[in-house]
Amino acid sequence: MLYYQLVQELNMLKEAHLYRQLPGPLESASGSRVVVGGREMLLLSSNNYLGADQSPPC
Amino acid sequence: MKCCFFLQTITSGLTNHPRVKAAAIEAIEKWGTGSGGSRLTTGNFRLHRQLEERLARFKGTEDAVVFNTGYMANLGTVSALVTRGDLVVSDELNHASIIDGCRLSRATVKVYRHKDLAHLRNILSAERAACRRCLIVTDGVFSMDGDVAPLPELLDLAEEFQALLMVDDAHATGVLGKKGAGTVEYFGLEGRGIIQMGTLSKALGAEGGYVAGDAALIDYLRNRARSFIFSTALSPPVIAAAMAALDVLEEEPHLLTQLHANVQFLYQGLKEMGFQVLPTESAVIPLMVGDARQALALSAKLAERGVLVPAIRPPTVPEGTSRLRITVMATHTPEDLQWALDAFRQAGERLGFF
Repeated sequence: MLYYQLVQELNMLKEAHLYRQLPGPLESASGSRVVVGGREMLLLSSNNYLGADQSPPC
Repeated sequence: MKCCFFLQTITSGLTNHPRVKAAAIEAIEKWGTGSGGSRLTTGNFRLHRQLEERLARFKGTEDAVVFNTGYMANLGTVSALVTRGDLVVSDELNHASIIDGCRLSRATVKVYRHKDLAHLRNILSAERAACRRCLIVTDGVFSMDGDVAPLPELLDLAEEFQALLMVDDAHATGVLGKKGAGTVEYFGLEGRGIIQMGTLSKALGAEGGYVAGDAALIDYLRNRARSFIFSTALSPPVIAAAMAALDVLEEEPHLLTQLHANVQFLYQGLKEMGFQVLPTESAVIPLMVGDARQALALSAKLAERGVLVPAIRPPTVPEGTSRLRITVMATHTPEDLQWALDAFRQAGERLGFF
């Protein structure tokens, strides 16, 4: 199989709890509160430190 | 003064398409201007995945992953796929980002003469057995020459020597194939495991690069391609613009037809005039000059007449092959092209080209 070695390497990552998958996508703009999976959540891990990409909340 | 642009990587004119602009503006209103984090942490918007799924469908693959630039896609992918103890074999005219990816990988790098399959076979015969993994990498359309890689023959060699095959379709996407999906579609090689790299910044009028391929490959790149992992995700308007451009490409197939008609018109006109233009299968028409000073002079004369085509000189192209790299857009009108031909004729006559 073409990607046998790659899959093996991924399996090793999974066993070591180092495998990464894309997280549940944001369903809102990246403000201090975001919507993920239909739930509003407080975002405490963005690099958008000043929130400068957003117009001020109405 | 009327001014016309003939060195463009935006071959379909989509950066100014009303639908593409509207999608970007709407995305800013809805999602903001930035993504705020990397894809694997907090910068993964639903938009990003939608674009990746869309690209995979367009390219006929299981999945795709978007990088911030084409340069980063090549750098991240080549350096993730091969490392010390592996072999990467690269066409001598491949783009700088592939060359840099090879350097970064720490794999053994061998370069084969441009599209020389016998040379490639010799290298594989001599080197393959000693290496764990092997990657053959090529531009799909060579950016400074406009010619197309012999993908079916490269795939045969890749299969024979159990190598991965990667194609950089930066200048083929939106140009080659019935749908404009690039060299894999052009040669009918879908489903054969070719790693298809491409960009969103040329025919698609946005920004960014991507790799489309088998699900396992893409999963691997998300875990191993450092330029993907350690970059802030592209901003929402860029992603939305790329998606809208794909819609336009799908729904307005006349753009592709028009592009190729325009290429043929300009190519024939320049050839009949007596310029040395290389035969092209893409949107790139190389007008060979040879001498760097002469190339600059021709470019300057054209500029006086309002036609913008910068001269391409070493080290971008080999010594003695300075040229004007002309690229045609689908949105150039017959009047634009005739006007350009007149300017080329006047400039060529003044400089003694014919």
